[in-house]
Amino acid sequence: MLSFLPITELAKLIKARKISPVEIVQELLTRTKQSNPQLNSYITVCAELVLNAARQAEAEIQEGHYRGALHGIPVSHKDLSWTKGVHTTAHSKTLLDFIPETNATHVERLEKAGMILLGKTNTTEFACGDMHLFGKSCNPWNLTRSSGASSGGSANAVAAGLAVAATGTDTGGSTRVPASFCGVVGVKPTFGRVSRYGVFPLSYTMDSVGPITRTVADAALMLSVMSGYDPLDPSTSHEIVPDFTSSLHQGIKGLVLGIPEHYFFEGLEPAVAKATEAALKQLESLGAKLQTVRLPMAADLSAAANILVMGEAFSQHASRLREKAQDYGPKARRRICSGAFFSSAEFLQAGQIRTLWIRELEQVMSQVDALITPTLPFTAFSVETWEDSPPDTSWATRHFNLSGHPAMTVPCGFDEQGLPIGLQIVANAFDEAIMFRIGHTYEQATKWYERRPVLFGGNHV
Amino acid sequence: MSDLEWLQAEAERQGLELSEDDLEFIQQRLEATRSALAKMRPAQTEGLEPPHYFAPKPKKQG
Repeated sequence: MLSFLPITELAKLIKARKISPVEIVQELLTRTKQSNPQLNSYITVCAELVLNAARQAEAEIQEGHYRGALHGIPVSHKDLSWTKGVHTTAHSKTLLDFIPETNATHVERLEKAGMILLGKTNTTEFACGDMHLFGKSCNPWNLTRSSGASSGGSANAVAAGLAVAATGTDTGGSTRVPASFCGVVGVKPTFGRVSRYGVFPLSYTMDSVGPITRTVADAALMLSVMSGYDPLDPSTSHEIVPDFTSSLHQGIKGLVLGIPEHYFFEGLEPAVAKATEAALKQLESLGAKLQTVRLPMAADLSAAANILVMGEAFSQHASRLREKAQDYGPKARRRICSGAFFSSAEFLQAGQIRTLWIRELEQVMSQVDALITPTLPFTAFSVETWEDSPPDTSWATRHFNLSGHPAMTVPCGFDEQGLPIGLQIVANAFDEAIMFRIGHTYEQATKWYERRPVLFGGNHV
Repeated sequence: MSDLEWLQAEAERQGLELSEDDLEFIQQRLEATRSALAKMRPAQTEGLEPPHYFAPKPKKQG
């Protein structure tokens, strides 16, 4: 089945002209037509557009104009990212008629590399509210469970074979959490690595755009193209962008991995604890050195992060809220508007806590190549729980939005109910190459990524 | 003036059309966040400015 193959495999077949991008697209469209009503992965499917783009890619490749490993590969973008000529709603009633005249920078860069737009994936309203207009994205491993948020449509589409690869945004864990819940790879790059131009903002000091893919190599491939300075986003960095795929096969012998001794390993569901322990042993057996580290501030960052995110979100949304507050869903309206009522002293105190956390983390990161933690302390909970009173899903992820460090989740096992478990890898700033190297080495040794949900034609219950 | 009345007046001042349910939710959220923040007051507040530009620095080599 083409829909479950990673980009790296599809690219070989396309380059050798053994398959056409048109075949891949046709299969994905058929699967999406069948399963999107159950999964709510997509808000918009660009059937005609993607078929035309696939035919054009096929013609270019047949004429010898092969652009590289992303040429002719379908991609699905979170509906928070501008796509030229295609509805971009942010799952909000206030944007139902919005059709951007330009692409977001990451959309544009992936398109130039040859990727073709399959559709716009489901998100919570403005990445912080409900999924009240287009249905709730469900978990392909168990449809009564949540896909996670806010990039839930991107993650469940990749996991269920309704997308080859997708992009998401991450302000407190929104690529990593749904990727972990759905058993795929989710990346939050270093702050400043990927332009946010053309992405509806939530928090301008914490928003990141990253790939959600089936394998680490696919994520490395996409991030190599998405990254780099963008004059349209002054927060982007001039740091050189390496080819993140070039060091994937170097192994992890001798790398020092920091294992926090408290917080991140407390209160885990037994299956998560067991899978994480097994993953650490696996990493050690692959040659990494595990080193216990202390991060005492890690337990107390949620208040500071909430004030900063909601303060920044309100500053962005204020004009739209003054005009159309009642067009927002209750959750997004209330969360974002809470940012209007904190005092400047509280907002700046939250910034001071962030500075102290960054200092503590950088001290630890200077002694290790990466940190390893569980991505979440639990597996996917029910859709109802997600709606009513979800537990803290940013429990292990917001820390690295606050600090700006790159982080990713890779599948590391399943619980007794067959729900995926994720392992988080955090690297030093702008050292995504090491993060990918660790993730790839682990992934290739364990092969969790080969399991696919049986409900959607996969091989694993 | 109760907290809720203050929130209502402040919402009006900021031009926000919020219902009583909205304000009650916001009030609970503010209280919870503020009490958590109060426990995290830095012992020393000088020298904790955020960097001029936010992007973190790469690890020093060697």
